Amino acid sequence: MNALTLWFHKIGSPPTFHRIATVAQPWCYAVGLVLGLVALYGGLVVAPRDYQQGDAYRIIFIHVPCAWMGLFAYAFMAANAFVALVWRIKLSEVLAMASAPVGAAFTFVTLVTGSLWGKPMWGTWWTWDARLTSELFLLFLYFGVIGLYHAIEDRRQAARAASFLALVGVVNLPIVHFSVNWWNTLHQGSTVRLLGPSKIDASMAWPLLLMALATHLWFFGSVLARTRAGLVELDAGKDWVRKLALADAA
Amino acid sequence: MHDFIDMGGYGSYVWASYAVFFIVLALEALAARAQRLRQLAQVRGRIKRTAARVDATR
Repeated sequence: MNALTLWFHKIGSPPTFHRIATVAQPWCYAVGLVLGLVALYGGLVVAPRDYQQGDAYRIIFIHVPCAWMGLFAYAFMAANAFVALVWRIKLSEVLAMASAPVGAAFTFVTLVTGSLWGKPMWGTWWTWDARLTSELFLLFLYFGVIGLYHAIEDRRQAARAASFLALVGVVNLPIVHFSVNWWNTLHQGSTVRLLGPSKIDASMAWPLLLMALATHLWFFGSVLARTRAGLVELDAGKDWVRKLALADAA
Repeated sequence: MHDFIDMGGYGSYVWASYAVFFIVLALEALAARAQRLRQLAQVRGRIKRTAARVDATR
């Protein structure tokens, strides 16, 4: 084995990854929280009122980052599911299953805040347009993955079955993203774009992007916490877990 | 201050959104923590039961 493969195997071993996660997790939460509070101040206080939507537009500072996280979490889950299915790496199974509930939480917040934004701006809580429907389907995909994972007794078999479902559901990601271009939706098009100029003023863009960074960190904080739990469950009989459990009680 | 809470008449929608955001993410993080503690407690329980069985057969 060359040095890189060796390093990869070392990182991927449950006790090593658990140790890294234990250190990294509180930092992810703490930095995410601080950045998030700064972004909130920027979005709720510093950013000017929108000329068309008044102050209602301020929902964007949580709605859009959560929507991005819903998609990002799914992509992260699917990438790990792919590795889990092809190379049968234990850690990837755990990481994939750890990201499902976190992604579901972000998708749920996206749907609720979108609804709360839709009522004053569109005059309706809900409409079956392509963006809203595909986003709801994303939430159901998360529920399907979580449900399947808990329906099978053997943890590794359960993770593989749920990983397969997660991979099939990837087809929904471009549908969510491009729905506002492919169909005539009530939902507006993309405001922030990676390619080409964004359609948002800098005074409103920075709190939005900072909140996006904060939610990413928060996501990894929770994924690491759930991964630690998952690794402990998988390796419950192993020596390193016994030591950890007894040390934790003291 | 009143203007800030009122949000130009949209206060209830804006603050409800932010409340949902904070409550859901906080609950999710607490659930993650609870799951980890539960797994560790289960491992401890298993260690204790095994030790008790060894004592009983002695």
